[in-house]
Amino acid sequence: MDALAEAEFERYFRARRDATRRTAYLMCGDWHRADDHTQAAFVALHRHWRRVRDKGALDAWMRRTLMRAVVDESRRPWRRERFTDDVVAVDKVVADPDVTTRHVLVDGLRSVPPRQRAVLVLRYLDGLDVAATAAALGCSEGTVKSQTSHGLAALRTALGGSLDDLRPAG
Amino acid sequence: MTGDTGDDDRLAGLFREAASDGGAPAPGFDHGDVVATSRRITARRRSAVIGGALALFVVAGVGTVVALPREDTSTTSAAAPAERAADRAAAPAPAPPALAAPAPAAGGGSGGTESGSGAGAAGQPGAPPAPPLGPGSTTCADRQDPALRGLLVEVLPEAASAPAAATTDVCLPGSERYVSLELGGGVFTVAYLPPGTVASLPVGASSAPTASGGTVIVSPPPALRDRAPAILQYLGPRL
Repeated sequence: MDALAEAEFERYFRARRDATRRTAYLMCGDWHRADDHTQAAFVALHRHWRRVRDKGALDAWMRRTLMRAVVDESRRPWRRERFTDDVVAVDKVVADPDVTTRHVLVDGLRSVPPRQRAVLVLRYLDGLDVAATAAALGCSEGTVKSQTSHGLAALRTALGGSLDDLRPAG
Repeated sequence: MTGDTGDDDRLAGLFREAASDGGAPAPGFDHGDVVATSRRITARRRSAVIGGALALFVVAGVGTVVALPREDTSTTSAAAPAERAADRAAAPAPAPPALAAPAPAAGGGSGGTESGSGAGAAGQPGAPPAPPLGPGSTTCADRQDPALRGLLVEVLPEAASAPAAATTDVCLPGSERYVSLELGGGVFTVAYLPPGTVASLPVGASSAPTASGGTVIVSPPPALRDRAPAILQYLGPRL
């Protein structure tokens, strides 16, 4: 990669690293794993940088790469997540006045299946509409709508109906 | 909740708050780490591609060497029939035999009858005698020498359809000639040694001087030992 392309990549990296890292964090619920996923996505982008013709589509490319990495990793045997009928013990969390919205929501998201979690994160954190979310995940818009509905239901179940009481801090 | 814009906005706020990195650890990587990892992966993949291509080249080369039959290797290769056909085609035109191959039950065996009516003896009374074959000119001795085999077939017709016997890859002097056939329930070997070569005869073998000053050795299996004198007598003047 020539110097100009390296400079372009570095500019993009500086601008988008933290936002991508936040998305990865909500997807996996752990900052260290979020770092791994984010770095892997940027490494993949660096390796394909010369082949990216439409620089305006970089965000979509990164989102797709990141989501695929997180969802794929959740399927690996040593990281496979198990879903149970047990509800997250949010009563204790909500009763604690020091608990933050972040922990409540992240804990709840952990109990949502990865694909549904990806839909929720893309729609409510990244602010994508149904079509853009479908493009990022490589599925139909109908799938996005149903996954959104199921994801929110799962999140509500996980939070024990306390989601409506949560408010953004500040 | 999903269809309500107000709820959507509230959810978006919740998600943004949850993802805020105020209390998050500092990022564990920087631009330099990404570039270094990318270059390392690229170099590793490039090495893997080059290594794979080399491995493919080596495997293809070995496969070609194994697949191509060599004349001095085992006769069980699939190319043996073609090889035999080539040998027959390459064999010199049958010279007038000085000795008709005696039939096993013919008795006598004294030879000398140039009747030309013996089995496989394509005698041409008026043809001029061919010069002796003499020493070979290859780097290593041909273990299935087609010319020597052609002469042998003239006196031992069964040799025409006999499969070549397995031989070793040891490089013997190129001036020597050999034919080894699976014939008569064993291995039938004929060897020509150039002048000045001394060899000890194996058990059951017999030899005779040749027209070129060398020695021809016939080592037949037990079932064909009675044919050895006639073969030696036929080959001697032609080698």
